[in-house]
Amino acid sequence: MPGVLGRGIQAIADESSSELQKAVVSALAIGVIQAAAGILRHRRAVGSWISAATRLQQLVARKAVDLGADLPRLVSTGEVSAINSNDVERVARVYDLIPRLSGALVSFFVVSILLINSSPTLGLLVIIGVPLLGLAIGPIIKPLQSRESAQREKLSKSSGLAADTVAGLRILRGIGGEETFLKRFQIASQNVRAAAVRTAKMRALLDGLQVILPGSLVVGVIWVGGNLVSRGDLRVGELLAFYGYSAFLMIPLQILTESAQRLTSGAVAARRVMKLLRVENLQSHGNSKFPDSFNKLTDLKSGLTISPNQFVGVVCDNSLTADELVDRLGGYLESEQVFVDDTPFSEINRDQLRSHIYAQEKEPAILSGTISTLFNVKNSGRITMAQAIEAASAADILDSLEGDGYNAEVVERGRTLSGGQRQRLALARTIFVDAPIAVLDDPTSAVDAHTEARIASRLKQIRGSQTTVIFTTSPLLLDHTDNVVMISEGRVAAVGNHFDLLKQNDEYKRLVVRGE
Amino acid sequence: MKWHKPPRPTDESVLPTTAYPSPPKDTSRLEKSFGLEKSANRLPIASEATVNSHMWNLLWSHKGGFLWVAVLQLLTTSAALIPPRAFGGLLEDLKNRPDATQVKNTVYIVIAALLLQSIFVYFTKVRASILGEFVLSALRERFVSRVVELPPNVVERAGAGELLTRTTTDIDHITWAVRDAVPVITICLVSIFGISTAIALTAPLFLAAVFIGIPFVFAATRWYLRRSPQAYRVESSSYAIVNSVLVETAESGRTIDALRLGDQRTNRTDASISRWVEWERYTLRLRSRWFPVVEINYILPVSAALMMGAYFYNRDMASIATITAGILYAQMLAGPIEAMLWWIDELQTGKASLSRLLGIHEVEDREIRNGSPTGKDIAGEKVRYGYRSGKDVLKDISFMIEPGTKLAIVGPSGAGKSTLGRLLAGVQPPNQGRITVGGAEIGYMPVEQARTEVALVTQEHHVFVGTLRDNITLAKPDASDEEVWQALRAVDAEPWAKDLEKGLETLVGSGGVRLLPAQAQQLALSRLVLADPHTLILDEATSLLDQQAAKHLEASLGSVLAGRTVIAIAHRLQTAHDADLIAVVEDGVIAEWGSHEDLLSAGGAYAELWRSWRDES
Repeated sequence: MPGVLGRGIQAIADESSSELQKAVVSALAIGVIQAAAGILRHRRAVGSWISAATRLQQLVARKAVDLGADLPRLVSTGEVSAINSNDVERVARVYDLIPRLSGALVSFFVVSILLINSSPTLGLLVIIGVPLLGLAIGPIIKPLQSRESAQREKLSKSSGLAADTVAGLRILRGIGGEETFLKRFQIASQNVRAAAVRTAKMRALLDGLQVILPGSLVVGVIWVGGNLVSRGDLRVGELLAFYGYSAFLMIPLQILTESAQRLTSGAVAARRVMKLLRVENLQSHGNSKFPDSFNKLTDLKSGLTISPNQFVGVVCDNSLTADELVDRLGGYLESEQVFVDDTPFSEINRDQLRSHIYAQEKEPAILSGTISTLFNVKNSGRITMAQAIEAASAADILDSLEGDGYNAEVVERGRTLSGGQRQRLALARTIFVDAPIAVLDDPTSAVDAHTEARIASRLKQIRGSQTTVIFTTSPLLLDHTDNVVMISEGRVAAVGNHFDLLKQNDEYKRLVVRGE
Repeated sequence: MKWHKPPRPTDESVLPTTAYPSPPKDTSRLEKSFGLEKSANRLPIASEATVNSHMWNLLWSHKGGFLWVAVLQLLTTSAALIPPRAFGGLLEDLKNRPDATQVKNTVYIVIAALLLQSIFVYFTKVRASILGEFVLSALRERFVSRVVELPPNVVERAGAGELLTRTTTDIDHITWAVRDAVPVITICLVSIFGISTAIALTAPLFLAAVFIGIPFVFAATRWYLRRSPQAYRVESSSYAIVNSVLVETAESGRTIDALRLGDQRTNRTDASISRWVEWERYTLRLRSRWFPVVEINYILPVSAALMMGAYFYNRDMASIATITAGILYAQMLAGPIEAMLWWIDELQTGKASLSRLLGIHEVEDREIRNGSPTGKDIAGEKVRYGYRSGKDVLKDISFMIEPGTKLAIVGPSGAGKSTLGRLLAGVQPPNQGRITVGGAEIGYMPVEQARTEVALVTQEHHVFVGTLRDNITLAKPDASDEEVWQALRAVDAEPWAKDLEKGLETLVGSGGVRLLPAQAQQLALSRLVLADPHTLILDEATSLLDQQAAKHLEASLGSVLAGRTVIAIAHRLQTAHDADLIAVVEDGVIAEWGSHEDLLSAGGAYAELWRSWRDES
């Protein structure tokens, strides 16, 4: 383009209308080509960053699914989220860069050749000058980046505070303290402002340098070129072209500087993504089948043994012990120490294990979606959704939701539901799955006594002869068990019938009985 | 050229996973497809007019700052205009009579101009960012200060998610827009003005050439701006959904594993990704049509200037110097025009977020009626309440609670116990009937007054980011250490609090020491002790504690709360047994009312339940 302009000016100076026409037509043609090439390159760049980002996100999501229950023990949710959004994006941006970077390199070389052809002196001046200028900007990049990261840190702190205040807003409005929290946020927000201005000063310095440095190249071109013209070695139009080229080459130069930054942060991000993708499962899984009928489940650590086809209650002196035992019986913890007959869980195929034992944790997740999607799980087909909901006394929840119940949206991972409602929905889901062995961790802790009593009898009835292990201290549930195991200090302390234990075992009575 | 998009603000908040519509194939139908998103909003969104007038006010209140930036930029532009002019002059001279001294002089002029320009650039940028950051901090602080005074019922109805999205995502969007767009647009406007003036002064005839492309750019940009802001908004929400689906997968790892939902989750992730990609491609399509037109604008003026230059030169109406300067100026103009259009676009996205932020200011305030309580007795008269019309949760409830009474509310889930608790705490007034404290309707009292009368603690617990002390002294920020420890003792939290390394100054909440749910619940109760209202409503406030611990806590709390009215909503019958009065709520009405003994001898639902429970003991 500068070349064409130079030719145009020269043509005007020479009063050559045919040259001028050529110049104008080529200017227009180049403009169209530039626009077309520009948009094609942009499409290419966006296309490649999208496909890089989506592939990485899919990998991360598959890894998360694969880690499953082990994931929370290995990586924090916040980190997974940060990797999925920030790091994946940073890696993908490298792909976005590649078309531009290669374009920049190509245009640098093409222009260099053009320059050397028309004037070796000027050509060399520009070709050596541009990279030198690039290096001159270098020293300022580091302090700029460190100020930027300080600013980001302050920003995330202030938005964290705002989010925290909003999350606890019900409490603040109910009890007070809005002023304190508002003041805290204002301080954080002002810190962000100060940090941002500090960064901006550094960036302004960079902007100033980006005027003066390329400018000095322009000065050089005018100086050398002007003298060449005055000696008659260069034409006026050509000098204008050189002036244009030296300005034009700043674009590839900027892209190169940017590339250096992007590639560095992309590499750091890629390492973080890889670290997540390389995390290995905690529990090993073999290929053995889970026996269709078994004689006993045994946990070596606690000495707990479960016989098939029973409705068993387990009473623990400590709720943490109960949580741990449920995890062990589900094969989520030290699965080489838990046996079905003589086979350790660690030798059993994962899908086999999960399809035979369903261990419901204390606060099972209610995934967002409708009530119907909640029940969109692998199940035996023996129990209908309605039966399961009825057995868990959860029918009233459907009535309270908007829409026709089953299609009602359970928003925000069930957070709009009360603790008791979430618990009953999860229980209904467990009943619906109808696993041959069901292990339940305190499934009625947030349910009122009326409902608990109803659930207890219905649960026993609907489970029928399937093996059911309930960790609870509620007499309303224990009343319906065939057998009760009491765990004290991590070991089996007593086994027997609920009523017998009540009469004979003082510790059991203390754990179970409420009311005087 | 800034063709790559600015980095996307990350969003870790929870977004409703309500499916966003696919981008339309035919762009004219775009507007219609946004209906879905609107219905999901439970908080108001400010109208276009409000947003515009607010933006205008904002600009006006910072007019001094803008003036600074404008003047500095005018100086910058002026300095930037010198080199092309000097260079044009040089070419003219060289063409006429080649002379080396001319070259030297030009070089000096150019060096001086460049130095000035870079100094002005520095100060313009610094001033602009001081201005931008000032506007930003004012915006976000004004928003948060409004959020913390929202009526409680609005907070409850909106849910944390919606407010969180506005606090995080929308503030982020605005940050991106304001931080760069406002200064850049100011700078561009001034440059365009400056350059145009320069052209008018040196070669007025060229102005026509320079603006030849403007109508095209204007039309294309209008077309683009009508579609892009919403499209970018949906695009970034759909990107946020990709992440929230993954976060859900990660958080629910155990459940997903147990239910063998892995494939389902993978499909869901893939679906959310492809939905996002669809939008990403749609906005790309919009850009693909808009950019080329803008790009042509670089070339049209230059070609036109060349032709006009030839015409004028042939008629001796312009010198080579004028023509060179004119053409170079025409080229200079394209940059700021494009940058301005680009950032106007960015500003549009910011505007969408701004309309959501400003929407908060349109939330109706709580209705306040006169009347101060003259006592501490609580009464309900024919109270009716339903969340939706036609479905009353509470039906015609009347009662009278003497000061100092311990009342337990029991009943099956979904009977309306928690709703009654909320009305008693004055979160909102009933639809019909009255709930009064000392004769004054609590639902119509200012929030700050109502909570000194009645305080509500629910099952929901939140540990604020901050010190343990910050978490307890909400109602009494100047409480002494002794008072705080006393509050902790009252809720049996002293032992574990003492074990914390830095005691009351220990950082808790997200990022600090993690407290167990049961400990968080103790904190919630300790706040109450310092708040010291005469009536407390405890809605399952000890449900996360162990059976034994809850029993113990209630006893020690009881001694601190002696003489106060306590209304406990509980599923543990133990709580009912210990209360002075029991209300059995069933299906929206008070089915039974009386002391434990009364109800037992009445032989109703409560007696039956109690018996089934006692039989085992």
